[in-house]
Amino acid sequence: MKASTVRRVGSRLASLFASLLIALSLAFLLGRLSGDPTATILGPLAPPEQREALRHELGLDLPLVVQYFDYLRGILTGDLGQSLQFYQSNTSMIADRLPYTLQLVAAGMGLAVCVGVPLGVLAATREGTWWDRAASTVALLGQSVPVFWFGMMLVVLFAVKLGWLPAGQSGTPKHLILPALTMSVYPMAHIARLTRASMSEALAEPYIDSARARGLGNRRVVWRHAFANAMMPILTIVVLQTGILLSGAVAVEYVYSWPGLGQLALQAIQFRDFPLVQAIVVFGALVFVLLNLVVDVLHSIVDPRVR
Amino acid sequence: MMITKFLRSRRPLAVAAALAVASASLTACGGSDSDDARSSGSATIRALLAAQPATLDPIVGARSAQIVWATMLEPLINTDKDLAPTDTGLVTSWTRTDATTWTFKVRPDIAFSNGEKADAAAVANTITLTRDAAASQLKSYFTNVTAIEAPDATTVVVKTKTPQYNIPDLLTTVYLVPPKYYQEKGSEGFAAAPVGTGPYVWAGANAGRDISVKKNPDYWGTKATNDGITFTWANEAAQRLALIQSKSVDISFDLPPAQASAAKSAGVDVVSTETAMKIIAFLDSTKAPFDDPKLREAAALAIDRDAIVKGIFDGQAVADAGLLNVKPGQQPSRSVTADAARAKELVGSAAPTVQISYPAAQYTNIEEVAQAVGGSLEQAGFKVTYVPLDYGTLVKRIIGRQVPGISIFAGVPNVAVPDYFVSGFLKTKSITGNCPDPKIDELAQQALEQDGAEQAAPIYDQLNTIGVVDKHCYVPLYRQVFNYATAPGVSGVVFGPLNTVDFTKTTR
Repeated sequence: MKASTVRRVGSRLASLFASLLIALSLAFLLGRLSGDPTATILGPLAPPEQREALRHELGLDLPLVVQYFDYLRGILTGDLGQSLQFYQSNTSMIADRLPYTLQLVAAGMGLAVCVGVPLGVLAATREGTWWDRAASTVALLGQSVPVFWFGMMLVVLFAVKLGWLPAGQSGTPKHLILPALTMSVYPMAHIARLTRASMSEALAEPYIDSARARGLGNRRVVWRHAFANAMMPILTIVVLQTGILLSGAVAVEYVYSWPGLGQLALQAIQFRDFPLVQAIVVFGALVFVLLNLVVDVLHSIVDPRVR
Repeated sequence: MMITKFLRSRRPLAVAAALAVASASLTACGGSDSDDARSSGSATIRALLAAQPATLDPIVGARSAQIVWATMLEPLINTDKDLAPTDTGLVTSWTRTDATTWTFKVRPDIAFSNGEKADAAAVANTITLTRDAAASQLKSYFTNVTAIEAPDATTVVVKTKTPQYNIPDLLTTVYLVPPKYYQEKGSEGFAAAPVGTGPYVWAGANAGRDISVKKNPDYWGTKATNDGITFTWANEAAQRLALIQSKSVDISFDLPPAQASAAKSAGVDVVSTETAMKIIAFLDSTKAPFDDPKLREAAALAIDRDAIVKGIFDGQAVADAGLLNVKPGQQPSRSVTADAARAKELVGSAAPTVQISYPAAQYTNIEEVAQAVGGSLEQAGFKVTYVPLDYGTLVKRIIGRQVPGISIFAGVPNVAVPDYFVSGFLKTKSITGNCPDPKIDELAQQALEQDGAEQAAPIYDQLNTIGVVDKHCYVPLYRQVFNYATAPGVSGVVFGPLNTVDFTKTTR
């Protein structure tokens, strides 16, 4: 491996590590600003000595610096503390909820890619036609409509009025349809707009004219030549949007009572369960750093100039 | 190289589609033990809660979760419809042997569903855990208890430091746990699969998704008429409404007024019950401006609780005139009636500034209530500033005596005894400490030393009069109304005002 490549990889890893440390420190500090957790746990009528005992048990009476290093040590050993609300290990709770969120994100993102990419390609290859305008309008709507509202409308129509699908919760493939559809709307629109822009640019390149001049079929030109070259920004956005959905599926999970990480985060916030909020933020930060790394690796595979 | 080729081909699209299909299949395969209970036919009741129960360990858990654990576990003493202790439960009788000694008789030949004996030793162990466990929710109630003994299999003796008439009342919120199993599993392990003596036994759970219980065929009392209950939850009120409207659940608990009205309009059966949750305005008599009794009286006269109930809740709350009337439906003998003109007269032209602190978004319509209270005070001549706080911060400030002016929050008694609020709000060393008075402390102790609730009642009425009518330290506002909806054909749900539900006669 070249020395310059090693330097670049080293510098990228250092930058990711620094971002992670900043995110972890912020999560720690914000957790300490969220009021007195003992009031929530013990209720307003608990005597001060009982509060003090609990504060001691939770380690909240230790100096902030000691708490901070204990927290970092816990993260390194996979111990994200214990939930104040559920009296369970945060790590195991996140592990319990993660499969649900992964299902939702995989289905939502799969749908977004399956619809968004063809929609963007369609708009780019028929630029200026009503196809283009219709696709752009759909994409614009998808990005503007509030997820929460869209979810509720789907519930009212398909669950309450028509009775075709469950109004929420989980358990069967049917339960996944409405949440996945709701979740896919924003990334689908984003992917469609980006694909259109990227494809328009690629289709205007001289190598496309050259491919056509060689008598290649339109489908082959569009997908094998233009799309392959336009793919880099689309891949980036798909991976980063996946990260956003993984750690931010709060609205969709809330609307559909989907038992994933978003719902867990919301419950933790409502109860001021700061160790759990902190654990979820830590998990989100780790996911983001990891996905950024994935983006870098994908870039270097797809585009030799980045290697 | 292979990856590059793969990424440059059209396969990513196919992979995404496959992912979506696979995830759907995953969901289908994702069930576990409680799926059987969920789909075990029409006799399994599907109950929808507003939140996931935090823990099913009754020693450390908040009472909001008792709707679930009380299907499997039983309180030491049952209560009747008026929330008074009765002899129908695990403890069948009690006597006050002397001023500080209580003797309880435990129902013989009862066993936990794991086979452990539910005898006097188990009862004594549960009371001891309740008093001594570090995170016990009810610890502060039992500080006066000095000894808990089980001299034989059916007798439990409880001794207190000073006389306390309401020990049987307190035992109505203590749930019996099996000593060996609890010790072996610990709090977390017990909560993961609770064992009790109740009409249902643990069936299973899917983390974050549902909890199921099934009928206990060996229950000592009247057995359940249904096969079991599956509890699910939805934080969003509109979702709870949609789930009951689409018949995805049989009972939907905790519908706020707007959703309850919408459910009624859509033809869904809604039951509304007055609860024991009281919303109260606390006036700090130790600091300006309310260290002036005239201004406290002015504030009490300015606030119109009837207008709040009518204007903000459209009747979905009950105007409440007392502090110590802990049972729904009760009102004190004397109260303060709003009189805006007199309030204005008392304030005069001084225009004192009042700060109103309240827990933002903690209770239904609390913002509007704070605004209504502030509006009334402004009309009387006060200058008002609003301090919305998060609940934890507000409690911390109240305990630290850092909330001058008025603070508005709820009091929810775990048991229907007036001492709960006397100790919490009235006494000099109470949590709020906003009305210090040696006479109150003396009467509070005197009330506890009475022979029973009946003898103590006039003293509590007197205490209420001192705090609310004479000193104007408290302005009781209203009691919350609890709504739940049932799907067509569902009957036999019995809801208690202290967040208990009897499902044993529920059918669908």
